[in-house]
Amino acid sequence: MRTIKLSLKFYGAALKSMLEYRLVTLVDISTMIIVFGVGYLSTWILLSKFQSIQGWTLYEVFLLFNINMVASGISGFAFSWPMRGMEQMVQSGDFDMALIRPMNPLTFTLIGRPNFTSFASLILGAGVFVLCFTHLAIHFTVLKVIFLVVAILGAALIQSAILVFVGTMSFWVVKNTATYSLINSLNNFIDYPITIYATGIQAFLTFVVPIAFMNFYPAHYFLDKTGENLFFPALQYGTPLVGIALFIVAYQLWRIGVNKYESTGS
Amino acid sequence: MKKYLKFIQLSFKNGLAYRVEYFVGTFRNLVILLVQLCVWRALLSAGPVTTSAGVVTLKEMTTYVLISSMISTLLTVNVISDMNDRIRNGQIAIDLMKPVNFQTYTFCNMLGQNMFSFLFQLLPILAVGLIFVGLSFPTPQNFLLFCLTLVNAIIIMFLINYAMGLIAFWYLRGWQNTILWTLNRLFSGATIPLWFFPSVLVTISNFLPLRLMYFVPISVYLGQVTPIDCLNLILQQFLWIGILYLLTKVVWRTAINKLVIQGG
Amino acid sequence: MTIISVENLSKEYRQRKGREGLTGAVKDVFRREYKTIKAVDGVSFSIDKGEVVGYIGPNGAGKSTTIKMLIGILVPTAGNIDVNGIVPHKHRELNAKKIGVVFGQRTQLWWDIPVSETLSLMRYMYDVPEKQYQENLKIFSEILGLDKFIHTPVRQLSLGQRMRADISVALLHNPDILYLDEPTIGLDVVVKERIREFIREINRTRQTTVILATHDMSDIEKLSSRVLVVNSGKIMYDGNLATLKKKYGAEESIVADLADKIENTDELYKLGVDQIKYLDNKITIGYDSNKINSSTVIRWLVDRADTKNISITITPIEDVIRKMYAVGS
Repeated sequence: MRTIKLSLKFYGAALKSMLEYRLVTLVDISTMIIVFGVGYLSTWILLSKFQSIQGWTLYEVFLLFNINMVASGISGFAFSWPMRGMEQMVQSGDFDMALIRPMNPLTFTLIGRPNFTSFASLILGAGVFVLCFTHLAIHFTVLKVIFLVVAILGAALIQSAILVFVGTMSFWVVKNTATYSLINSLNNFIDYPITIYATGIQAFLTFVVPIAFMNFYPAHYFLDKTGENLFFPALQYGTPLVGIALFIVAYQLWRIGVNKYESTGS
Repeated sequence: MKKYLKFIQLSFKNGLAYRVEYFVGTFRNLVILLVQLCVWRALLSAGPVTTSAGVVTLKEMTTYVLISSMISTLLTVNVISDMNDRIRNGQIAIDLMKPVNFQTYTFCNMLGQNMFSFLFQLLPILAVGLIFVGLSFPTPQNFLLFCLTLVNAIIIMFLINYAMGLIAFWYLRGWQNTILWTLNRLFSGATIPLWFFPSVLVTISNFLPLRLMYFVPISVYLGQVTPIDCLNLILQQFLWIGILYLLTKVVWRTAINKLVIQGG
Repeated sequence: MTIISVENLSKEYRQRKGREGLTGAVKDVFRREYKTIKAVDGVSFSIDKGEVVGYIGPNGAGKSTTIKMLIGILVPTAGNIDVNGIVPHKHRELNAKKIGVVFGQRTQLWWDIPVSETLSLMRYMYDVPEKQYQENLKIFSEILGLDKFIHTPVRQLSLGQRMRADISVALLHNPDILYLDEPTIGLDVVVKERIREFIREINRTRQTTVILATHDMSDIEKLSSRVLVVNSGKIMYDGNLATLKKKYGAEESIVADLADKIENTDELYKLGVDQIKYLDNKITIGYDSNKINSSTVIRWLVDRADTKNISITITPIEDVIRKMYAVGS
């Protein structure tokens, strides 16, 4: 609809601007590639030596890691800079600008600052997917393809919800970079299959901060892990639902935050 | 000399202002620690494994991970982001006008902050180590050597960060931290001991000073290094300190010239 | 036809009160004490379509707060606002389509891209028809000189250029109401005049209602005839500017550099000047503008000496308000 057309126009302008700063873009993309690469390298080193971790082999762990990377890339593109920039916007009162426009303030805040370097991780991720699926000899049906897309989008929604939550905190907390660090550190848990943790932690990552739905549960759908016990087998399919639910919650909190901002000014 | 001591003292006292950051840092450290302990428990569930350094048991890996975590509380520094900020907001001009050596000044600031954060963050990790999992202890001799390597590690870490920080004079976009941290986590042996590395990566790692900050001190602690090798490694540390120090001096000279000529 | 109607508008803030001493600080941890600040206190006025209204008051008087409530980005504590038939904060998006806003301290332009890009984006956001877009660009170029820097990235613009760009963006969609919050702060005289001329023109040709909040009286003098004086959240005066000046703001002073000293100044005193002071080559003349106007004084000076660097200072709004209080009580 109209919002999509408008967003594309804004993204176009941002892209033009990014292409003008060639050196910056190059450095940003290189940094991203190095971070991406080191992540895979670490996993590769460990699993070359140990063959498997809790029954997950190299390409299975790669798959796990990759779903996370791709989903984060998608959500990072639209949400990362705007939400992490909320701290400065709220403190300086620049957020007023989002409120004087004839559109949803969240949408406005988002379309102004997309991060195109995230696409680098998308492209790399796509390559790694091909690698993984080839090595794992997964036979792809139409249903599986649809599920993959839906699962990745669901995971992206989860990540986006988290970013919106971090941004919303700026309406109440002054030092917001700490919130981002805090929540981001939880991402370390899902670098590996959560079955390596005690049941308590697994439950935490499933029912309290449901980031296990970002990669672990969808991965289960593709891999034959009959040996493993999930809390409920149905959880494999949970990602899109969790993503939508979490995003709705985050968005409601955001609206409460905006209301607070409108009541107390800046 | 006295004024530099004063800087350390001041920086230490200022530590309280950063308590939110320290708390978050502690949380982050504990999460990473927990993940690593679980990873090694899963990897070594089938029993000890043979490596180039001999047989590695779960107990050794547990200690490795714990010590690595404790070292990171000492070696996580704000130097780069601090310098980026100062150059960005022009504070650097005021700093340069002061009758102090900027490098030493930055070092003292870092020391003060780090001593504070170390005290703040060490306790939780130590608690995990002593109460929940098993932390093994080194011989007194090894422990002393360990401390010596740590002192050198701090200096090396500072010099690397400082050199990277100076790049802000030319290119100010805050990427140095990410790249340094990422590469460091891998090639220093902080997350994975170098015993597990394939030979290609070991070679690469040997050319970098990064392993001298984590892998070497931890190896000394674990008693994996003979005294002679230990001296060798400490000498390597001194060597790198020398190289890096010269590097910073050269870069500094160039940066100052650029500043003077171009202003802003 | 009334376009803005404000009735008993109030805005209160709760501010944390830090208690004294160490025991106070400890108490503060358990239960905070708040004090209520009335930023806007029972303000009422109505504005007709096509009016240019000055909203003047010292810093902290509640101008920005009122403007924000009129725009709809701040929710009032009490009172009614009606803008164009709707309540702004309740129908924020609907209201936003019909208004243009310029904040003096902040820009609404995107930082890294040229002005033309921002204008293009705004055109899509507000659904501005092609013809109107082109027409407006033409006017912006003619009067504001926008074409000279329309392709420059915003971060390279001077303050004056940036302000002109901001005003262009605000008026691109032909809003019914234009809100200006301290728009000329920090600008030089030439740019100020250009902006004022532009606003006059827009108001004349399009009947755009203009609300101008400022603490610079000369802005209002050049632009509007009606002025609302606000102090401590309350309206102190709502009426004709000329009358206000006559009563409370008649005092002006002229400062100039004279090449040679004028010996006999009695004549000037007879003309109605109140005070003449000399410091080195600088002469300062204070007078009541009801008795004698600035042109007469300046002509008198110029006729008698080589005069340079003439500046006219009018009564600052703070003094006007002080006088209003003094007379009132």
